[in-house]
Amino acid sequence: VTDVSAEDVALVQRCLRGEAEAIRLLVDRFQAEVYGLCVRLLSHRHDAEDVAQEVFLRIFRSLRRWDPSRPLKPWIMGITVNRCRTWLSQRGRRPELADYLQDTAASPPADDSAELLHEIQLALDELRPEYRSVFVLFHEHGQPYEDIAVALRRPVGTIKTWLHRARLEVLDRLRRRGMVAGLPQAPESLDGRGER
Amino acid sequence: MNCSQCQDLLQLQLDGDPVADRSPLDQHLQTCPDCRGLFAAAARLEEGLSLFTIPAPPRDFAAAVVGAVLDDQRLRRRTRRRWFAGAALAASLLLAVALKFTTGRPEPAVVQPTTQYFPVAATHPAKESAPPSPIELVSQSSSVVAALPRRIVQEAAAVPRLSLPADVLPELPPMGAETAEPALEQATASLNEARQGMSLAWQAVESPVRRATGVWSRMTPSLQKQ
Repeated sequence: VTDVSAEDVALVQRCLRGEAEAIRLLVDRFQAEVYGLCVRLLSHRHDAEDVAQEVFLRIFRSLRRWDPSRPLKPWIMGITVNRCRTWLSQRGRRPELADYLQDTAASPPADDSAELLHEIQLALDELRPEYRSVFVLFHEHGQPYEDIAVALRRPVGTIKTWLHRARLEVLDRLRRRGMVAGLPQAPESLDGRGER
Repeated sequence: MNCSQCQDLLQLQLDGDPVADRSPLDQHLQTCPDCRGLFAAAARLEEGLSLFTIPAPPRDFAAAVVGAVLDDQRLRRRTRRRWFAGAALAASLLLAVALKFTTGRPEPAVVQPTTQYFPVAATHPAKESAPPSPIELVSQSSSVVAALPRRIVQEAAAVPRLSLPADVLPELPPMGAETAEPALEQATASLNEARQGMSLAWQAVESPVRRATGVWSRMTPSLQKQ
């Protein structure tokens, strides 16, 4: 697990004393991670903005409950994942397709990369929420297994299993959609799901 | 190498751990189209993931969040203060009621119907059996309230003396005029002043009230019959 930073502890203590500057620092430090995770899990920028704001309100309301012996970032990511899951269950529908092209590199290549990104995003949207969370936290946010386990409050073994299954489902989709060179496009999905 | 071992190596590769010895894997991939397809798809996935960037928040997002957090904290502080004030008030009322019942009460005055307080009819009862007048009631109640602090101090002083051996305690003069009286005088001064003020105020309004009650009684003879 990532080491606890003394800087984090000091920052949280200042936030608990109600220092506005410390609150600004904490928001600045984690806004990209929280917002980015919300966008990827909800696949909707406006929803992501609302949920990310809710996440920060929740973080500051429950900051006293943070255990200083554990790293801060997984705790924050755990709150974010939980809020996104609650939002998705309340929204009661599949995540909408994000404007994924804006999330690509500044100079998009001229090959089929855009289509590849589109297919990966679609594959992520088809995953179960817990698989999607683990996949995004690991592959996009670079979180190690141990930190994801802390964030999602699951054993490391469970996290590994979820990630491996998520990868296989994404790979299966890429193969079925003809995104792999030298392999013919499968006419039908392996698990019976309809093509988009 | 079988397909299961091949998938384990695939997961290791996607974890970012390089495969130490690729020759058994390559041999298997040459003979297994399924595993070859998986590895090809994994290569495409890695290619796509390298193009992913974490979506950036809008420019004013942090300012909006900080504003919302500070507003939320102010609101919660205000709510908490109101809650504490309400709890303190409720506790004070409970304490007052508890003191009232634990320190004992004088015999309650028998409250008669209001028409007997202001006798206007010719058949009003005899003077000696009449209930106390409003002035007397106010005065009596004020005296009871004024006596409360004195009683509380006396009882509080008695508790530690009871809990200690008699030979440890020096012989103290009884709680009386010399020791507690000056402090009690100070504590009850304001209550006595309040009592006098209430009496004076009642004297000022007493005769108009009596006249008004008489007029009202004469105008409603049916009530007198009842």
